[in-house]
Amino acid sequence: MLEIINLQNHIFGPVTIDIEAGQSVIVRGASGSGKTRFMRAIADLDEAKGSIFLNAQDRRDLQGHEWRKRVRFVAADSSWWFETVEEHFPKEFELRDAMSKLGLKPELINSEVTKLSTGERQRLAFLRAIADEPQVLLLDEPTSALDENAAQKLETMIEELGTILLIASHNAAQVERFGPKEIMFDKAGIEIRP
Amino acid sequence: MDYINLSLIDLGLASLLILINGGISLCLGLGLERTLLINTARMVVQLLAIGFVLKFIFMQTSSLWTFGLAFIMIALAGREILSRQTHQLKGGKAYGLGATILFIVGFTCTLFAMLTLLQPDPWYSPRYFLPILGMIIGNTMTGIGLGMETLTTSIKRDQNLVEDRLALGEPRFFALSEHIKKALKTGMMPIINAMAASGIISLPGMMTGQIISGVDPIEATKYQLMIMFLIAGGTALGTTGGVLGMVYLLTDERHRLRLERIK
Repeated sequence: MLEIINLQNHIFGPVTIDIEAGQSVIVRGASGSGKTRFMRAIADLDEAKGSIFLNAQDRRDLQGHEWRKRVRFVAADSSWWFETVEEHFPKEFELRDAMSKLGLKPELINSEVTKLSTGERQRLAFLRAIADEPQVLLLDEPTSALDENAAQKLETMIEELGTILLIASHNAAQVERFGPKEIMFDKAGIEIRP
Repeated sequence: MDYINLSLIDLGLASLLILINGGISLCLGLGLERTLLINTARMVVQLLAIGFVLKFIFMQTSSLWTFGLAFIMIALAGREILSRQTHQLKGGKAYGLGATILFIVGFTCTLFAMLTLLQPDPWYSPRYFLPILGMIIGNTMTGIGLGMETLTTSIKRDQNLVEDRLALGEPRFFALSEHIKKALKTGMMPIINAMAASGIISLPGMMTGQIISGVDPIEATKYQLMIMFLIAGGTALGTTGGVLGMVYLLTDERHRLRLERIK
């Protein structure tokens, strides 16, 4: 279980919510309302007051990078630092199988990252994020560059993972699929439904 | 020692060559005349002043005066490192980092030379201590300045990439490893290149000065080799300290990137 207690910083907050294992939560709100900053703060990429416990373990008991091995934020736009796709993945990860589930051609494994399309990069960034099996996924508009068919394949894979999931999305079908629990960011404040 | 004294008329004649710089700037519209004039005047005043200061300190042979001037040199060199940064940090931490490293490296390398290689009497003899310290911190300062500048600029440019690596659970020094390597290479490259060029493309300033002052060229070469080794070691230590220290200043104990610390 992920317990977030009074999480806040100068952009958002405070937010208190418990999310059970396998449960998904939609994070909604207008652009610039603080959704991304909220999810980054859960991953401890941004400074924030408040407490977070994952399966009763306080994030302060772990080093920042150890926490992020368990609690993974995935940005809408991905960056890449090695030349080819394969170099970004751990050797033990079944990349070929995972790629085929998302409709990606296996020959992309040895491709140069700069030659990939935006949609291919977005799906591969998702696979890179789940390769070492984090317990919590914080996805910021994970299908923004995908067509409906590719988006559905990715959503199916997300569901099959069964991790604790927070997903920032403007996509109505996605909200329907991963709801009904949601955190709504707007000018009046932050509301947790239902 | 046998050397030819320069008169003020000799210096005046040599200074006419600066007019060539001014002429080129005027003809090509470079707009450098004012800067050239100010910097030439600054150089003349600074060198004359240090000449008189050194003459005074050499006459005293006092550890207090020697180390006093050494601290002033380090304090000014620390400021020079900061002035070379495009993206400066808020507060005085970057200055503190640069000056502290210059102090540690400058004194370590100079003391090594004084106590084990040259062994003058007294061991802090300003005639040896101050020029050697000056050459070490001058070069180390360049290495630290270049290293820090490369690191900060490249991290700022690649912010999203670094954030992605941190988000995947990499510790800060791992996530920044490529940036650190690039910064260290950039900081050390001038001294590595200078070593390759020494003796073939250029005669180093110190060696030239000694030869003109009547020192045997072989003895001057030995001094130059010693100082190049000291400078190379000092630059490597200083650049490494500066770059790694800068990583600490641009991140925090939770291994987060803290670019808001840049002005």
